[in-house]
Amino acid sequence: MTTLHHRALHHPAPKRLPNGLPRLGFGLGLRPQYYPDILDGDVPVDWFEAVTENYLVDGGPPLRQLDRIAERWPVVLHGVSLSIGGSDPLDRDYLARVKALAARVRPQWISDHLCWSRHGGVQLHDLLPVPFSEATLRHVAGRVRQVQDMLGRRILLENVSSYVEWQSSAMTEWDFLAALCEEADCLLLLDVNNVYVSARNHGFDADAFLAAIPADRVAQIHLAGHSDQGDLIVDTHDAPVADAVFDLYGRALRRFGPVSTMIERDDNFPPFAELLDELGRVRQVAAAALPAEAA
Amino acid sequence: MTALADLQADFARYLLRDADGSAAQPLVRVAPGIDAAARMDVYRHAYRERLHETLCNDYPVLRRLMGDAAFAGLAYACIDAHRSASPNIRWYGGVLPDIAAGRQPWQAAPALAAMARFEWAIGLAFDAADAPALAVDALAQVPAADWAGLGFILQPALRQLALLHAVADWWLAVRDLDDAAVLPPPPGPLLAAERNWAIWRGEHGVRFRLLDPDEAAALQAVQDGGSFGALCDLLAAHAGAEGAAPRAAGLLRVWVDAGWISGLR
Repeated sequence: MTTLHHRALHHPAPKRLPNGLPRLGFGLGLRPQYYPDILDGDVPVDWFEAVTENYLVDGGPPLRQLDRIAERWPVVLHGVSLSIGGSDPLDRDYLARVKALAARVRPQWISDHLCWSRHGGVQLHDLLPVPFSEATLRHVAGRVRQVQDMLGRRILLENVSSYVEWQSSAMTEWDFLAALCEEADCLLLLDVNNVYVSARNHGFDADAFLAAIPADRVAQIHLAGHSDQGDLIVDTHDAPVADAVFDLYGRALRRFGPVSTMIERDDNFPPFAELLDELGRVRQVAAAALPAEAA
Repeated sequence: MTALADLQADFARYLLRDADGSAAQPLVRVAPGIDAAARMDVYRHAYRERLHETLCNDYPVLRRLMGDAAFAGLAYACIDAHRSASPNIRWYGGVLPDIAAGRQPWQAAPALAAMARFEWAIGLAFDAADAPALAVDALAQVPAADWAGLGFILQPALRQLALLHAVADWWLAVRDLDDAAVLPPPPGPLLAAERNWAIWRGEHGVRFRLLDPDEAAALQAVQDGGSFGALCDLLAAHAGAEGAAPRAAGLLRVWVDAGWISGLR
């Protein structure tokens, strides 16, 4: 009962976005380095995003820790291996494991990336961009529908950072995403840092990207740090969120409303208190961008 | 093959170093800033480094013993020899011990391959399936007539590992050393024959201990589905006919206390 009481105190029934998904507030990526900080205190974090693959194991401490966190906070699952844009068949064993994990931790939603990560049975362990064409759109939309049928729920797909564009792309990434949402009836995880990184790497206007995304499809926002190498920006998640990305986030919120937002940090881990400070800045940007009743 | 599959095949071959960029590069749009080859190389480099990083995480003690550069050489040999087949990168590292054991220059230092096998086994125990531990009382409730046919269900996390080198002590000695510490030498001399270690997950983490030869054989018999009666028959060869049942009962008690047994059948 203590757990329920805690949850009732700190996490009242969330309001929902027009797309039906809850507004969770401001969260963090769940990383094992921070388990003690998270579980030993009463941290001002509204929700956590767990990387699905980290918990596709049979047992032991990882799953126990996730269970404990899911008892106290809303959790979402974020995968990196779906390869929804791949030409290999969908991996049904993998999907069955994701479904079983979801039955265990009851995530608010499940997401992955608009990318390919496997070919010829070889896992490339990367988020590789797809060519944005009508043929790819039909292919990916069909696979999204299959995945959603298998999982019994709509999924969120994230725009990735990219370093190449394909000659065979015949439309923009934002037009592709908008069409995919319509065609497959899926939702979007908008990674604002990835929009910024890809915009710089390919010379497009990040605000044009945001303007073309259908607002009612955006169900989650990612923020993260990158590495600016001058002529190329690499999505490294090893640094604080850049000022320019915070600015773009503010403009995204004005367009998309109070979408659940979290910070991803995957390397060069700072003390947990620093991440909380950074999440505080996210709250401030959101408060400045949104009407008082929405933020 | 569709255009999408063709593109992915060409780019995957480039990432995996099965091909140079001549087929993949024309697929990439020329853009301001850096050229297509440098853009493609971000992905090619990331493929190798991501697998290298996961091996570093899987084998921290081995890496410390070898040094970063030598360990990277071993890691890249793995990456060149083995593709990743699981969507979960956590399982990739299982390829390393065989490379360390079977190729020069690592083959010449067999204690390193033994350390690799030990460290991988520690990782397997860490996130193996959970199962409840059998209470001691459960054994007391077994009717005397049922003992001969009694079988045991072992913890999924429990495994035996046969090693020629005493790497467990070496692992303990190196695990918590700070960066400036002098490394202890490899264990030596070599044991006369392989000895069996039990590796399992306890309440507070992964544990291990050396097994006596008869205990190793008995544990293997139980893992193979042998009954208490079969255990006694096996132990008679070590302890004599009269000593077999007491030895079997003693081992059973030790295993139950260690949480190795999760059920009876």
